[in-house]
Amino acid sequence: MAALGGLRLALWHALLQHDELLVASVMAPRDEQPLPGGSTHRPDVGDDPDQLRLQALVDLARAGDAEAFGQLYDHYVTGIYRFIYYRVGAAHLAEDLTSETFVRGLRAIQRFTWQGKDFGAWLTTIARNLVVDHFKSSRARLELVADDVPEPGVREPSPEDGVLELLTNEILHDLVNALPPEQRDCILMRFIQGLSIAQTAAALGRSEGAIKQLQLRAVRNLAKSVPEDLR
Amino acid sequence: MTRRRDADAHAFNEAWENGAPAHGEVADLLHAAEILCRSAAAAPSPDFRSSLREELMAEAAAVLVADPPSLRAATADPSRSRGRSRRRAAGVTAALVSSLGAVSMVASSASAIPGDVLHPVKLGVEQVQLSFKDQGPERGSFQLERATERLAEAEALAEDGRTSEVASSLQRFNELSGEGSTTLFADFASDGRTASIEEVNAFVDDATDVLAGLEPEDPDGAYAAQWDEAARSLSSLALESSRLCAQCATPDVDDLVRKVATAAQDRPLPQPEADEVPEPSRPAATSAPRQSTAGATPAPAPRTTSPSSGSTPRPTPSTTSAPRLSDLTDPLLGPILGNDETEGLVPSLLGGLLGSSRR
Repeated sequence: MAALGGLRLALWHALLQHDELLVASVMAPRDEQPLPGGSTHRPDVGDDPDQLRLQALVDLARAGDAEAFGQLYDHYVTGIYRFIYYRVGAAHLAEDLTSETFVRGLRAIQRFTWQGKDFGAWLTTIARNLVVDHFKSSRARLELVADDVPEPGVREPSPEDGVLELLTNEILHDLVNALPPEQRDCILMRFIQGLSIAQTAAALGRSEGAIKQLQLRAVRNLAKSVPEDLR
Repeated sequence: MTRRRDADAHAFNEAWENGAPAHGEVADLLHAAEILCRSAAAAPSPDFRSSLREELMAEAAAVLVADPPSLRAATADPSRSRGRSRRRAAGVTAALVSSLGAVSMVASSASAIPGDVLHPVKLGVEQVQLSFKDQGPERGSFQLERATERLAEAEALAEDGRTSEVASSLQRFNELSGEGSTTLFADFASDGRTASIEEVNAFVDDATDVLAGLEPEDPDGAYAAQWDEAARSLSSLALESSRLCAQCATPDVDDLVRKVATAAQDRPLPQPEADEVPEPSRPAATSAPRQSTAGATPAPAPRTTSPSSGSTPRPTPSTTSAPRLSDLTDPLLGPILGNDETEGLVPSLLGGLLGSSRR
């Protein structure tokens, strides 16, 4: 029954399409945010060879090159994981959400348009939305086990840390998550994930000037909370 | 005030990004930011990292399409194409939602058997497909496909122990295989296309195997009449093939005939005195081919082809006085299968092949 085989194929294809539409709908709010500068072109990265390489990889992946996506993954996975980890405070959950971020990124990359956005910022937006969804769906559960946050552990400073005493992952998580949401996300992106002002601005949908002020307020708040002996 | 805030924000950022000299509060903040930055050393484990990469690469192969249309649209005119693509996406979604149910129902009806809710859907789909076939070999092939499907359903029903429902599936199998092969034989007769004959042979070959497997599932003889009919029609199809096209059918016909014959022979005969007293519990139709056997030759048609079966030349025994298939086929089958006077082509061939001592 070749015709029925064809129908099964069509169904499979339809399901695949369906999933992509879901992903598109997840992405939709971001698409509609007015972006600073409103450019429809890729961000100007000057002659920075790393950034030029990343932009080329994004273009290749959008044209269907799987290996290019693999290299983008290699570049961004640690930052995305870190952003999520210090937000949720548990490694296994951070892994799950990191997976989901990249799977969604992969499924939607061919619809990614630069519009002045950086690809890393775009991925971070996906991660941020996923974390928000996670907390929304598990709010009730968290209230019951409110202290089920990060894994304890004291970090030994490595030689290149020099004289700086370091915060444990647990304290860092608590400090960052005690900040107001925008300041928190700004700190996570700028100092923990290592995004630039422009990338953070793109991910949060703010102007670069606004991010600079946000960052200052956030660091001020944070400095007050950093344990006395570390300051 | 605003300017002051801007200046502080700028000074801090300059110090952080470009190592501009910092004093007072900015220096303290810089120190705090540095602690923060260096403390944040969590990283995905190498195992997780590599397994996720593998997963993504496998999915990328399936998900990424070369030069997607969205790429071209995006570069063409983003402001206009966005609205259009949204509308198109909405249309596609609506169509999908409404058609998804129908598509999945049709797709899952493929494995339905009689009694399933979706079986009528399956038959309906077949009917629609049939209406698209022209008269000719394509239609014949499709009817044989449908016959094969009915036989598979009969097999599934028998496995479920629903023997009483097997009869009608077999009945339909007989009708469809007759229609399909008649069309294909006619096609060969007019066009000389040997593929048509070969198709019938392949069909008979497959169907014989399934039919032979069905036989032991019917200890009570609930579908014995239809089974006999099917076995008989398969043998006559094989023989008709060999008659029409000796060169294309000959290699297979002996084997086919032997398979049907063996299956039929394994079938327990109703009882020795069947020719005198029809078994009361047996449905009337069932008794026809069996009780018809006169005297010492109680075997149904296919058995007669067995090399070891003695003197039973009548291939299609029947008690009915209506025009019988055997009346038409006897003159043809006699020389092939053998009768009272002559040993017959097939038994002698089989005898040679199987080493029978029959003389």
